[in-house]
Amino acid sequence: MSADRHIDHSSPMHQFVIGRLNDWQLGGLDISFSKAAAFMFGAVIVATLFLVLTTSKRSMVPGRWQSVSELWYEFIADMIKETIGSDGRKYFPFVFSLFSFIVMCNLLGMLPYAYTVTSHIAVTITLALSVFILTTFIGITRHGTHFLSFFVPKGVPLVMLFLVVPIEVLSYFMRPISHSVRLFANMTAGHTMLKVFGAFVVQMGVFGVLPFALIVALTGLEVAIAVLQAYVFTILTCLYLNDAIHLEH
Amino acid sequence: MSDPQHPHSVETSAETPAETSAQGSSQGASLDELGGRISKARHGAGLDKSAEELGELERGAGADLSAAWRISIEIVVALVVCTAIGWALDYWFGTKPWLMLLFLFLGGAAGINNAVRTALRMDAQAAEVMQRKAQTKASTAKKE
Repeated sequence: MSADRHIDHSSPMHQFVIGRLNDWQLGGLDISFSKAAAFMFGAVIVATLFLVLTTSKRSMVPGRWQSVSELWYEFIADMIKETIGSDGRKYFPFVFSLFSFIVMCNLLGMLPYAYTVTSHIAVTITLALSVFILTTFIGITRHGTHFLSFFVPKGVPLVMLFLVVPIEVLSYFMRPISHSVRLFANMTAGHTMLKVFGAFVVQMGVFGVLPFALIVALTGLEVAIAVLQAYVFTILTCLYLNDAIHLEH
Repeated sequence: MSDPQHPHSVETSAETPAETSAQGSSQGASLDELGGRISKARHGAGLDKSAEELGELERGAGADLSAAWRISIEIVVALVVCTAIGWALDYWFGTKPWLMLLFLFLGGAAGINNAVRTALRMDAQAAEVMQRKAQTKASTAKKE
């Protein structure tokens, strides 16, 4: 692991190093199976197993575990119904998978010794770009050239359009960036903060109890943020889908 | 549709037209009855807000923090990225520093545009939740 040499093990940033689990080369390309890949597979497997196992009985009156899965499903279904309406039903599988993947990555990252996949912008920008490309594609296929009217707000004088249209276009292209930075920054900041306070516990000796108490509280906050940020990412996806389908801001 | 032998079938077939067979409708009726009893019991035990609670995540522990993040990130990202774009264009065209200045202002405008939109959406959402709460409060007050 060559990257380890650059970041000291005691550094709060060391947790974000992508370690390689093996060393595979394919025509000069590094295709080694990394820690990040392992945790992404883990998130998919855990989410799939959880949903399949808890709903395998298909009881008419759900038990505890089945209720969790049903709540999970209804949460996304309601979100789509509220933000997009009945037109959004088609996109339920996409939105549900996206939410499940992010929430699982975030929560697995909260386990001790775990690696948080979503703390890397490469991952979040890929998710955000896939949403961006999908929504743009939907907008163009649904509305054709009329889609461009999205960038021309109604009731703006012709002279102002020279200024307003570039701003609208820039606003639109900033979406995937803010969409991905929000998730990445939240996860990175939270996990770094935990590590920094963790170092204080060691350094302060007896008085380390104080930062330790803070860490307990912060860990609770981080779990909440892990779910919340997955929710925010998903609801923004729904809002962008709504914009593409109904062409309104 | 309205089977005289099954008095329940009239009310259930309105909801589930697919279940027109006698067995289906009677099963649907007993399920409806069961659903009614469950919701009554849940209401009695004060459990009928579990789905709403998930929606209330936004007002949970990290709620204010996430609201602040949601808005501020829009401005910061647009400003930084647009300025970087302007700088890169300057670098290519050799027009330092004019394009960077232009894109600095455009980026600020785009960021505020996005931030205001996000804030308006959050406002609308909050208003909707408040309205729904007031409605449920009114309806429960009526019941009592």
